[in-house]
Amino acid sequence: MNLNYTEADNKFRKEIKDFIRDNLSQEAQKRVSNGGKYTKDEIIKWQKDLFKAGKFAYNWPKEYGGCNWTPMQRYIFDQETAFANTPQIVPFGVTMVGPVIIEFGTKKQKEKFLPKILNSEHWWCQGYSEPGSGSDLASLQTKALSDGNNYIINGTKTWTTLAQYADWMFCLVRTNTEAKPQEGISFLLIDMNTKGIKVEPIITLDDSHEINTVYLEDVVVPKENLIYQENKGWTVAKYLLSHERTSIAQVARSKSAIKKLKYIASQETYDNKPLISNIRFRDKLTELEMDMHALEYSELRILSEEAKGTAPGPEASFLKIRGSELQQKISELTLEAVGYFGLLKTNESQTEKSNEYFPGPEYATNTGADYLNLRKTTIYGGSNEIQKNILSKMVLGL
Amino acid sequence: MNLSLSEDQVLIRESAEKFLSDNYSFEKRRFFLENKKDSHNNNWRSFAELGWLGIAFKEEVGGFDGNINNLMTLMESLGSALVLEPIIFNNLIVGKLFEKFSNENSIKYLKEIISGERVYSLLFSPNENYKNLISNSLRVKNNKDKLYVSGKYNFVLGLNEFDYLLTPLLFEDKIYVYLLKNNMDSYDIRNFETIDSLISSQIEFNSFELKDSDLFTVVNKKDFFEKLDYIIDYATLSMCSQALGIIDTMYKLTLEYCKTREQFGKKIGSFQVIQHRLVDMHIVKEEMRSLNYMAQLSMEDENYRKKNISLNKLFLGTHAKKMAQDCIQLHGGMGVAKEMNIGHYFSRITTFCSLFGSTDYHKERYASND
Repeated sequence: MNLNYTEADNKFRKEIKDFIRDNLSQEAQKRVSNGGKYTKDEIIKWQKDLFKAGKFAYNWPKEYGGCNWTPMQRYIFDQETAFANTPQIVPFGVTMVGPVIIEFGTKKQKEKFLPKILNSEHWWCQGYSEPGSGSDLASLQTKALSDGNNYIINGTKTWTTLAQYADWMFCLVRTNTEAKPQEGISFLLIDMNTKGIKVEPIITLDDSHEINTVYLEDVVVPKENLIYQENKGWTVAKYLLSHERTSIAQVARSKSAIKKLKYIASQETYDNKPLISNIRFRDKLTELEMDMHALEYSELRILSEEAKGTAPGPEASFLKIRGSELQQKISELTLEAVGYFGLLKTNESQTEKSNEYFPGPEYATNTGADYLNLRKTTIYGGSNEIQKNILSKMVLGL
Repeated sequence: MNLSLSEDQVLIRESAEKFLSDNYSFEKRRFFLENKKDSHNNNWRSFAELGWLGIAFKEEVGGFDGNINNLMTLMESLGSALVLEPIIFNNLIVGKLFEKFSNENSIKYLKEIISGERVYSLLFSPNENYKNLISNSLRVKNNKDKLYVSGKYNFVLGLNEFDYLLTPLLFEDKIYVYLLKNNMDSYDIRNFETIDSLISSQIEFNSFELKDSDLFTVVNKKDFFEKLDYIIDYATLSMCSQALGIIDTMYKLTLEYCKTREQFGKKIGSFQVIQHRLVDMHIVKEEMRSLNYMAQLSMEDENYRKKNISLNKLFLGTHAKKMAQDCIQLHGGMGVAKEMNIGHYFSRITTFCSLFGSTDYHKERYASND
C-alpha cells in the first residue's frame, strides 16, 4: 500500500496545472466557479486542447490513442481539473462508448469511430431509458426490425442527456421480442442526422435544458453499426455500466465543492460571527468531509485493484450510491449557508454580468438551482435503488 | 380536549378546496405565470370576495373573527394550490401590524386591506436577521430640517404589486414608520424570480426625501420589535401551514404514482422497500400536522409561542425536507421534469426552508427559550 506522491507524480501535477493555466479562459473559469455553465463550444475546445496535448482519453490504451495513465495520474488529473473548475469531459463518447468500441468493436468500427471521439468531432449521447423502462431497463420497447442490410428503428428514448448537441447516439434496441427481456436486446450506434429522429427538450426543475426525449420513427440504421452480436446488447451494456459507475461518483468535484462551501461559510455570518465558527454548521461540514474522504479512499482502493488488472465489478455500485448522495448533501448545505439569496434564479446573461444584476454575493449564484438540479444524481445512471439491488444480488449474494 | 377541525374550519377547507380546484389548477397556474400582473390582480380580487383577506382579522374591522385555526386551515389549502400571490406578506403581516397599532388611520388601512381595495406591503427581509436589517439597511439623514433616506434591501417579498409601502426606519433610536406611495421615480425596485416562481425584489433609496405627511407613526424601538416579533411568528406559522398543505399533497401524489407506475412487471408500490418509505412519509405528514396544531394553540403565550413555532420550522427543515426529497426520488426521472407538478411542490418547500430563519436558528431559538 502506497499513496505517497513520487517525484514523477509531482512533476505530473505541475504539468496539469500548467496546462490548465495555459488553455482555460480565466473569464469562463470565474463565471463557472460562480455558478455559471460552460457553453458547448467551450467544452469542445477544452477537449480538443487536451487531446492535442496528449491528455485526453486517460482510460484508453496507448495503441488506440489514449494516454493510459496510472490510477494515481488519473486521480491527480481529476483533482486538479476539479479544483480549477475546468469543463467536465462529456462522458458519453470518451468514457462510455469509446471503451465499448475498443472492447467489442470490429476493426472497421474502431477506425470509423475512435478517431472522431478522440478529436471531439463527434458528440455522443446515450439512448437507454424509455418512458416505460427506467429502473427496469431490460423491459425496453424500442424495436429494431431487420431489413436486409439495415435495421428499421421505432420507439422513444427519454432523459437523454445533451442529445440536443449529439451527432451520434449509442442505443439499446429490441431485436428479439420472443426471448427473455435481457436476451433480445442489441447495442446500436445511430447517426443523429438520420431521417426520422426528433429531439425534444425536457426542462428540469432548475429551468435548464440538459435532458431530452428522442423520438425514432422508421429510422434506418445500417447493420454495420451493430456492436458485438445481435441480441447480446445486454452484455455490452453491463460492461459499459461498470465503467460509468466509477466515474459517476464525482469525488474530485465534490472535494472542490466542499472547498467552495468552506469559503462561503467563512464569508457568511451567523450571530455576527463567521458562519464557519458556528458549531452546528461546523458539525455538518465535518460530516460531509468524513463522507467525502471515505468515498475518496474507497474509490482509490477500487482503482488500485483495477491497476492490477481486475475490472471494476459490481462493488463499484457503492461509489455511485455514496458519490451521488454526497453531491446532493453538499449542495443542500451550500444552499443553507447562503440563505435566501440561493433562491433567486439567474440566467446565463445575468451570471456574466455578475453582481450588477444579482442582489446577493456572487458565490450564492445558482446555489438553489444546483440543489434542484442535483436531485437527478440519485436517479440517473441506474437509480440508487437499482444500485442497491445490484449490490445485494452480486456482492452480498442475497 | 378537542384537536379536530371545528365546523367553521371544515367549511373554510371545503370552500377553499372547491375554489382552488376550479380556479387554481396546475394548468391555470401555468397560465398565471405567463400573465403575471393581470392574474395577480384578478386573483387578489377573488381572494377579497371570498373573504380570505379578512380571515385573520376581527369582525369590527371587516374581518371574519380573527381565529387562528381558521386562518391556518386556509393557509394549508393555499399551500396545496401553490398559490403565487404573496398573501402572507400583502395581507397577514402588514394587516396584523396595522391591527397592533390600532389608531384611527391604521384601522382605515386595515379595512382597505381586507376589502382588497388597496395593497400594502411591509419593507423588511424574511430571515432571522430581520431586526438588524431594519436597523441597518436604510439610513436616515437630517439636512436643513429635512429627512432623507438612503440604502437598500436585497431580498423583499410582496413588492410585485402594491399601492403603499410601510417603511420602518431607525432614527434617533426610535422607529419612524412611513407610508410611501408606490412611486417608481423615487426609488429603484428590481424584481427577481425565485426558484418557485415567486417574486423577490431589491429596493434602493438614494437620498429620498421623507415628507412629514407620509409619516404614519413613531414608536419606541423595543415596542416595535416586540410587535413585529409576534407578527413574524404568525407569518412563520402561516408558512408552515402552507408547507403542511404541500407535504400532504406531495404524499398523495407520490402514493398515487407508486400505485400506478409499473416496473419489473409490477406496481412499484408492491416492493417492500418502497412501501416502507411511503409509510415513513405517512408518519412525517401526520406528525407535521400534530406539531402545527400544537403551535396554533400556543400563539398567545409568548414563551410557548416562540418554542412551538420554532419547532414547526425545525420540522419543516428536517423531516419534511427529507420527505420531499424522497417524493422526487420515487418519481424517478418524472420527479425532475418541470412539466410534472411534483417538482413545483418540491421547489416551494425548498424556498420555505430558507425563509423566516434557518433550521439551525430555530433549533437554537427553541433551546434558548426555556
